[in-house]
Amino acid sequence: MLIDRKSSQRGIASSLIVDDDEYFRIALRNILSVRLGVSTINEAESFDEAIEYLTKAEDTDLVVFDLGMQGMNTRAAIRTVRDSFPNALVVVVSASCNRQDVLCCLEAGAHGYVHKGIGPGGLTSALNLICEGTVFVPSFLPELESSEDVVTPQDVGLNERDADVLQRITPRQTEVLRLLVEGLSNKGIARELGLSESAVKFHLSALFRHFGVSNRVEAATQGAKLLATDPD
Amino acid sequence: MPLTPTDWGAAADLGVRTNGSDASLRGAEPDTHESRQMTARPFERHAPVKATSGDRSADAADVDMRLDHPAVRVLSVEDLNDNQEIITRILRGAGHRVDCAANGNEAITLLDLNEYDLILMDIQMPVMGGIEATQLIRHADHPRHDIPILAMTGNTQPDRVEQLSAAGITDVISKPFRKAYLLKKIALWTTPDDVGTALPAAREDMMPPNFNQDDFDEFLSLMGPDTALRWINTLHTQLLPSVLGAMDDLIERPEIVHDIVAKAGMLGFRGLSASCARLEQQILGNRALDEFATTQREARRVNDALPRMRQMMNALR
Repeated sequence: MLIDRKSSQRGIASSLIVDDDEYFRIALRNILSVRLGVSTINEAESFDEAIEYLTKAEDTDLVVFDLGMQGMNTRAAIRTVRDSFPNALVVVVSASCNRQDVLCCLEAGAHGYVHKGIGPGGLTSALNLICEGTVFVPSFLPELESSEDVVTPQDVGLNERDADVLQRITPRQTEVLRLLVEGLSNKGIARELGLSESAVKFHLSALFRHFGVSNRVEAATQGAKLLATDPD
Repeated sequence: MPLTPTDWGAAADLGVRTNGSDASLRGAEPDTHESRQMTARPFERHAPVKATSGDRSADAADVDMRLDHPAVRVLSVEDLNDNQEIITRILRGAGHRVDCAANGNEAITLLDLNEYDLILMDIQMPVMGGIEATQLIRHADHPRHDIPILAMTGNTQPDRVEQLSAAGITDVISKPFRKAYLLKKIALWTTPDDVGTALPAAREDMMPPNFNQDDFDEFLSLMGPDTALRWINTLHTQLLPSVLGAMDDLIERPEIVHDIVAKAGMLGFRGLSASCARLEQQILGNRALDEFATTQREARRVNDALPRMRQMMNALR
């Protein structure tokens, strides 16, 4: 299961659990606090909530993500967190045993993918290994049997460039971009979307990085072009 | 290859099918029907034993009688004679001793007079119903307040089960039931093993083959019995009924299967978790649902084990 090991072991002080299943959040909370000795554990039910929290608590060491929450583009979400909080370990804990999901998470920069079906003992071991610097993947990853299930962007009717763009921006960032193009201020965008201003700033800086620009005017120019090609 | 409904009709004996009428038990047990069903379920591990002795005038056609369990004394409480006759015949055929009561009042009188190992309790009866009788027996002063009481009911809706559980019912047998199912439940609750003194693993034969005791112990130690009970109840009343139902309905709700992967896995039901994970991939990939039969088999075994686990958790609270 080990595919790489970083040099240093990290002590985890502050963590965030992002899962829409309350039962599982409680289970993960207990594992993190009792078995891994993590002192600060916060919970979010959605990616939006996670971003709201992370912009306020930048010292978060560990982010545990479920997959497939509503309004979440997995790859973009993981990428965003990795880009914006480079010191945090990002772990996906999911019930999906789809190889593509695993590969997609790793490609986006996750430090590990743990399958929920491995039970509480397995979860503890996996999280420990990840905190020690191991990149953890499930044992089904090398099974090629299901590789025929790979869904390519072409299969779902997208050309490669659009698909690429859509996969790199979260739905929330697309909304922020749309309002930016319409000329709204950060405060206006925040009000419109029901977010905090710090969350809007966070999404904007992610967009700046994505477009390789340094200010909102340039981002709006790039964004206008992108949105013009967006079928939505 | 997709299965046809007849291949997995066996779910009927697990309390997932409800039938409001007590009279629905009538005629539920023709022996020919039973033996056909048994041969259609090769995964049931039975040791068929030919009847050899005893008062078996009515049981000539019984060939799958189970004698791999100790004979016990059962008090059957049921107001309808036809139902009483069927129950009596099944139990005596399996070597058990049976006394009959026609209502809760008679049951309490008989319980004072004789020794019993278990009570089969109808719910709706004249004079005194099953819930009231159970509450009286469960009173701390009653000398037999710890006797297993199995409710026989056509209503297994979650709120009804909760109500029965609150009254002190040990387990629920849904009507109509099958002979093998009834006998298995009786064996489950009369096998010597003091409830509450041991974790479920103490009786491994009661747990599904792919149950991982270490996982469950770890879960229990992390979460405590209250949370464990919540997970068990969710699995039992919200998630498993969908898997034990029709395949067509389940295909529409892959999120149920997804949910079971995580919850069953955390509780140690690895066989069910792994099977649901494969089934989910088949559903999402629009492939043939080859896994469905395995998933149902695993779900049935887990479903059978859950009432006992619930009892254990209640005892630990």
